[in-house]
Amino acid sequence: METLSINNVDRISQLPDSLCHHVLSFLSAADAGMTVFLSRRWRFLWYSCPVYNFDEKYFVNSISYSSPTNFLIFLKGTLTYRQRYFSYLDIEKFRIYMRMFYELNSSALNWVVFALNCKVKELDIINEGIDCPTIPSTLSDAIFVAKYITKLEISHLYLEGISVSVNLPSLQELVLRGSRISDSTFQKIIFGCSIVRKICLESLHGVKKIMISKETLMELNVFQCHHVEFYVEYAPNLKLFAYEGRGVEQNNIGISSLRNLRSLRLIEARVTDSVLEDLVLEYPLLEELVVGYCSTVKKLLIASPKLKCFVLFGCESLFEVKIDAPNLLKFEYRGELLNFSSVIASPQLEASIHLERNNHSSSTVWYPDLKDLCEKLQYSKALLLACREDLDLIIPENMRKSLLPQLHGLRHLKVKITISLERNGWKLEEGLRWIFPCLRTLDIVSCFNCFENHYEYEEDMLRLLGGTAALSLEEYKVPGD
Amino acid sequence: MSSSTELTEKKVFLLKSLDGVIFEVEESVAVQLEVIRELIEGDCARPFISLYNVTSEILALVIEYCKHHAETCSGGTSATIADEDLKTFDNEFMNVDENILLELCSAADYLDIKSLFELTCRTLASLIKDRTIIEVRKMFNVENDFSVVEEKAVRKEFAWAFK
Repeated sequence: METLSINNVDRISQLPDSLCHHVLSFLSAADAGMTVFLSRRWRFLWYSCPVYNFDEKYFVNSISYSSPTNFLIFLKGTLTYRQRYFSYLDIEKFRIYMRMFYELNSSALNWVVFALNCKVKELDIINEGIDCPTIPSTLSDAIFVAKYITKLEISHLYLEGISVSVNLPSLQELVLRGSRISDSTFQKIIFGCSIVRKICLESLHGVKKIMISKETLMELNVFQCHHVEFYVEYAPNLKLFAYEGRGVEQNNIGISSLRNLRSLRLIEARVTDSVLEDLVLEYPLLEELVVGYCSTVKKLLIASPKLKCFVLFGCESLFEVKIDAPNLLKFEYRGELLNFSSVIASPQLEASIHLERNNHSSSTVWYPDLKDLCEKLQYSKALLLACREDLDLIIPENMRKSLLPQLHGLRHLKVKITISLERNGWKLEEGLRWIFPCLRTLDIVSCFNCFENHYEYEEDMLRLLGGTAALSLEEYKVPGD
Repeated sequence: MSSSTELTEKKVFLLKSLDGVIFEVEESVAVQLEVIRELIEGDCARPFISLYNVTSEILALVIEYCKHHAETCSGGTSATIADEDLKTFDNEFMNVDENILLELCSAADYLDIKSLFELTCRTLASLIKDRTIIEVRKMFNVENDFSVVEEKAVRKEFAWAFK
């Protein structure tokens, strides 16, 4: 690429203020602040910048380790200057990350109030220390009536009772992470966000029961909230709902009236069969569904005309799955072999199946089930099968007769063996080609053996095999044998 | 790639750079330049649109960028693959020297192409990050024009950094 003719011109200083400010907005305060040293042109850009990322991490002094002190001096220095000379300018975003504070330093938090007075639109107050200090009520009272805030994040801070009635008329996005909060305070906040579109709740403490009923809500993420019962009562515009529970103790969740849902992710959620069945059947616009570690789900019936992507894993009680999703393009399953009573999907489906075979599943059950699963997925565009041992995918000779017919639908197969692969995979190849005689490509990968092989089969051979496959097993010969 | 527009006649627009070079672009590219959107929609874009602040060298790059983005977004690939593809392209595209990067940034600002503006600003920020003031000055040819007194004053504001 040819370079510009004049190379020694200070172009960056010719850029307009707004552009320089935007560049600064991608930097942490420690880096952005240092630009005041560059030249006269840059002398005041930092102090008039509309975006501040005050992150204590960058103020750690390796000798004295007095990061809070350095951090506070800098915070105070910057904002006092701004207050004096640029108080007429609004602040767009104000993020403050505290790491080493054991209790909230009131002077740091006073500057949050300053940002609020500068009509801040996006406010993040993040504590990454060990404790969960309390936000003083003077501050919370100022935050929860801020007219201009569009995004609010509060992390690892104790939100004690709020004495004002919450009114955040511009708030679109609310993030509460690792915070301690009571049921009534939470309800108060939700009630006061009249146009909120996106809510993210993560690892909340103190709250027992959450009920959400919000006309404007479009995206809801709930992650790892301990001992919290969770109900979405009314959210007609919700497009995405993701719920992730926490380990063994699964909390009850309830969802209803989500007719516009496009994406649903339920992980470690205590849902009952009928909830999940109904839920999926009821949502005609659903495009993405993830169900994982939901140990209460026994039966999963999916009828979803728009579903494109379905991921299912680790549901130990599950024994039957029925998929009726003519537009399904991606299906991923991890877990024990289970009964797929029917699979209707797009011919473009790419399926990947990661099977776990436990030691007590006998061959007389395993192989017929495996064959059955393969049969349901044989019309996929491509199939990936992953297993621990190659033997798990090789139907024994003596069972083959009883498991006819072979499956002529599949053309492209990839197989991953995680533990052991014998005789460089030729046995496996033979076994797979018995199941799927019309394969055009086959890839066998074994990470454990560092083995990777790609096989291609010609069309003539395909036709031949396709023709003979209907015949009995004895007439079938492994090619090259 | 964009099969839907093939049925109707493909609209093309002519963009004229500061140094008089004329580029022919398709509508899918032209609409990404917010600054001329109104001209296009109001059908006032004939015979060509003059872009007084952009040289042909930079305009060619901008068009390459918009073209790739238009094609990737209209292609049949899924959103995640398209995203990956764009990311790789963007990274590659930002592999230019600082002067071109600055020109691209101010062109994106002037032409009002949001994604390119964000990309170039982020890249500029990453160049400043973790560098000393002297290194940044050298990279962008910024002259230190502070007097001794002024520099002392600035240093005082950042006393914590020089302990």
